Amino acid sequence: MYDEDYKKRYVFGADYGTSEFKYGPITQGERPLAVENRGYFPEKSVLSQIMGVDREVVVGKDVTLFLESGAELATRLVYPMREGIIAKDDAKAWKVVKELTRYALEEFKPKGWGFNGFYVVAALSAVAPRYMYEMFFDMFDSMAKDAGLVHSATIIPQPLAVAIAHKKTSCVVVESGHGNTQFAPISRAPIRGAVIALNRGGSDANAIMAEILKDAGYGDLVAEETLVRKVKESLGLLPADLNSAITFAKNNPDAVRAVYAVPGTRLKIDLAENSWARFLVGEYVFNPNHEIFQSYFRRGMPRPRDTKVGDVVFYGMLDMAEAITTAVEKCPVELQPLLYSQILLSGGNFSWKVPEKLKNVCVDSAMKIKRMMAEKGIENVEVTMASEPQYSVWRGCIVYGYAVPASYSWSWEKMEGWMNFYK
Amino acid sequence: MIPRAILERKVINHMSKQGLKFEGSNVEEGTLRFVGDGSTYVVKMLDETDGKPELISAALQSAFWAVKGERPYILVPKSMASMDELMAIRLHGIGLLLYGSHEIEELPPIVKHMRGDKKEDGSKVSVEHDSILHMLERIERLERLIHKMNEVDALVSRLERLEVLYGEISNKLLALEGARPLHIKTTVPDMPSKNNNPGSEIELPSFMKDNPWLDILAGKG
Repeated sequence: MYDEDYKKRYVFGADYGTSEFKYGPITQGERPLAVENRGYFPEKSVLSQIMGVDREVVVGKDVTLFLESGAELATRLVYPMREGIIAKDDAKAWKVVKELTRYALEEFKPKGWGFNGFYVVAALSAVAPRYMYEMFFDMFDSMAKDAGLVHSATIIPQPLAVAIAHKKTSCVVVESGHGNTQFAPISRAPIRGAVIALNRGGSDANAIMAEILKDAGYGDLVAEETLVRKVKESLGLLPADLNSAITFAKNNPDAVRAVYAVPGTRLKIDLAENSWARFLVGEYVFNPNHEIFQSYFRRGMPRPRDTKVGDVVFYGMLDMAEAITTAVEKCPVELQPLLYSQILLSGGNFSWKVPEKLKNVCVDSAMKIKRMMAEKGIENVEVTMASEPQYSVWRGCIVYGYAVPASYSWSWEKMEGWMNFYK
Repeated sequence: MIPRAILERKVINHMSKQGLKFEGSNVEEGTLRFVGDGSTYVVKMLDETDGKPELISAALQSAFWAVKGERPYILVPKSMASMDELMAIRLHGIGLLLYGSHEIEELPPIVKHMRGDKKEDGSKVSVEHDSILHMLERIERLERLIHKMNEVDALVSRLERLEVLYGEISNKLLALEGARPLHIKTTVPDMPSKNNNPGSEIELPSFMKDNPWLDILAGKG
């Protein structure tokens, strides 16, 4: 009872997203805090001067202070979770993750007596290999020993957290992040053998947005990834049908033309006669097999390739409807209709706006999936967009940590339970 | 220059005020002898015409007397040596009597404190007053710190007892809940407030209300 009561007070959710790290304790309410999932390795002398401390890596809001040195940015700025997976020997990435975790936990560490560390629920990609679990537990162990920040920890797949946050006990969670997209059937627990992953995510939409910007004469801006992402979020469109949308754009150039004014600057990005290409951005996320994308591949844009990490294959060119059916068909036949009827889309990569004047040619992500599934002959499909998808994983972590009993020890066989570090 | 006879009188007056009895003088040695406190005091006298060689010679001779158990002093004109030189002499257990146009000024020998530092006759050696005060201050400071540590220890013990007590009460409550009739529902556990104050309650976040996963997950283990 004492442990249980304590646990419920000090549950801490940590969503290691590919782009952002979202974190906070149960007391945070409806929304977590978020910082970019990245770290900067400054020159020691510069760090000492500016920060007054001798840390090897800087994370959180302080990173912005170091972004002036463009030439060395690529080597010094490390995004550890680019593909949702950290290589075992990627020492810099592990240092960033550890520093981010310490930064987050210390921000909420209560003062005074009675605090014995947080019950940390970390959410990783559904395809994270076992060694990542082991290394995360090692990291939490060292934080428990060094600073008393962690009492116990557990790790759950991000799609499970999404299902929990949206109160769906049987569903297919499609979680599309920066580096990849995971399709995870869930029936009161993750059906681990049925998980499908695409080697395609928001970064690929950024890549085609960068090509479109080059065509429109803004090639000098494409090195600034955050700017490209913001342009994509503002100008990118998801067509119901790409061919029809392009035809509409050619016939109604003014209707699709849009200008993005970069906040706080004099810069305005106008795609002008290339505005029709706005439809390519959304389409590429859902289905990169249209022939129009071949010209971009020929000019050097990297084609999403099949890759294998551990035992998991990340498919490059599989369209989303095909990925959903592949995942569902790995589940018991009796369960399949139930899973098709509860498809839950989550992640910032599904946030496509439908402008009022383009509602005849644009759709949101749920409608797009429904149309694609219908094209494959699958009916009775219900697709739901997660509300506030950027917070779903963290919310699921909080519910999980709150409900799973403190006495339930971690099981490597089931990959669930609490790993206790408090002595 | 002050005549030797006047100097002798001044020294005898000064030493008498310290409770010492004049025993006699040795003109050849240029010394005066006194007794008191069970010790013999020898004062080596130097004139204003003497220089550094005479001072060194007097210091060596005095050191010899000190080894013998006598208490040597050197009478020197104030202008003869620097304070550093005089300090060096004092560090060898030799006292100084400085004279000028006014009264004699006494600079007692500086005694190095060693364990078991006692004279053969059992009397204690003199210890500089400032050093004693300094030591006493340090001891008092240590005593205050030890007192504070004891207070912290007492508080820690009290908190540990309270923690154990809280655990016991929680277990009893758990046992009572086990015997609770099914129609009595459990209450929603306290939620910590935004500032982690465990005492206050806030509403459950919307994503937790009526969430079917709470029952599924609570049944784990």
